[in-house]
Amino acid sequence: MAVDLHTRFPPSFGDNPWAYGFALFGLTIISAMSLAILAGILLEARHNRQIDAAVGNVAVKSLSPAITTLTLYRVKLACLLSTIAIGASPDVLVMLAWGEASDRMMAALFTLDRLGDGLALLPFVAFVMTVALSGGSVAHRLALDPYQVDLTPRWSRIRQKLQIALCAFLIAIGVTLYKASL
Amino acid sequence: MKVAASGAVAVAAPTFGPAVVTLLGVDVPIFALTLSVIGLLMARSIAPPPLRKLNKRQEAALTVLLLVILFVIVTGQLVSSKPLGAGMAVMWGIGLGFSGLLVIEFAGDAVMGWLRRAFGREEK
Repeated sequence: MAVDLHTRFPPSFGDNPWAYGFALFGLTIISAMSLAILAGILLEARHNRQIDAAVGNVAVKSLSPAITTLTLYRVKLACLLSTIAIGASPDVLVMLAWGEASDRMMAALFTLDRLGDGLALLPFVAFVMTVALSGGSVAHRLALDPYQVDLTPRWSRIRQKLQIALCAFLIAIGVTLYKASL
Repeated sequence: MKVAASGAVAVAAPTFGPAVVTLLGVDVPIFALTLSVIGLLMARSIAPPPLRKLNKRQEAALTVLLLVILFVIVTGQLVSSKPLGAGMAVMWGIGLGFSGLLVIEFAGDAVMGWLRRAFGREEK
């Protein structure tokens, strides 16, 4: 069955602006937050490696190529966030371009969406394998050294996340209003 | 889609404010442009910093340059012949925001290439 690409909203939303706006907001915020945290993790890891290399950290060299609990934590988080970003980001693009882009571009976006849905399996399998292989060793190691984590909300910690949430909200409201007016 | 008296396609028709404002002969879709700027700023805050370190001033200059490119694209001067809709404008904003310095370097290389060809200088 051929799908009409020139409707206001994708068919799954039943021409309901609220459903479209809510989904767009949710997917945009999920994709943006995942990418932001993922970028933060990768940058932090790169920064740590640069410092280790600059000071010639012997402790890290002696462990190589063994994986530390810190690396394991980063790998697990990065795999999960990649799964989310690869799965959700193309959906955001399809929703934004719906009813505005050319048929050719929509076809390319659908292909990207399908590829993303399939490829999201790779980081997820990597996450599952990491969890399975590391077993309970991380939990055991962390239990040996109990540390009270400070969860007090501070502006410096949540500012970027709030900015992203606000931007995603404004984009979702604006694009929904625009498409509803077509 | 509504068609303006001038023949230009009216982009965005919320019930507040004009949909398209003509500035110096350029049709500016206010609503789509505003949303695309929000998208660009969001992407700029998420995107990892470029390998080449930029100071605050250079960061601000880069954002302004990206905004200029975004304006040209959203008003339909570069990619399509008509102003973009809100969804496509946001897509461009996010894309440009993520690409950051890469876009500017690409555009700079293209301009330098044109200049070299225009003045008949061989590329080394």
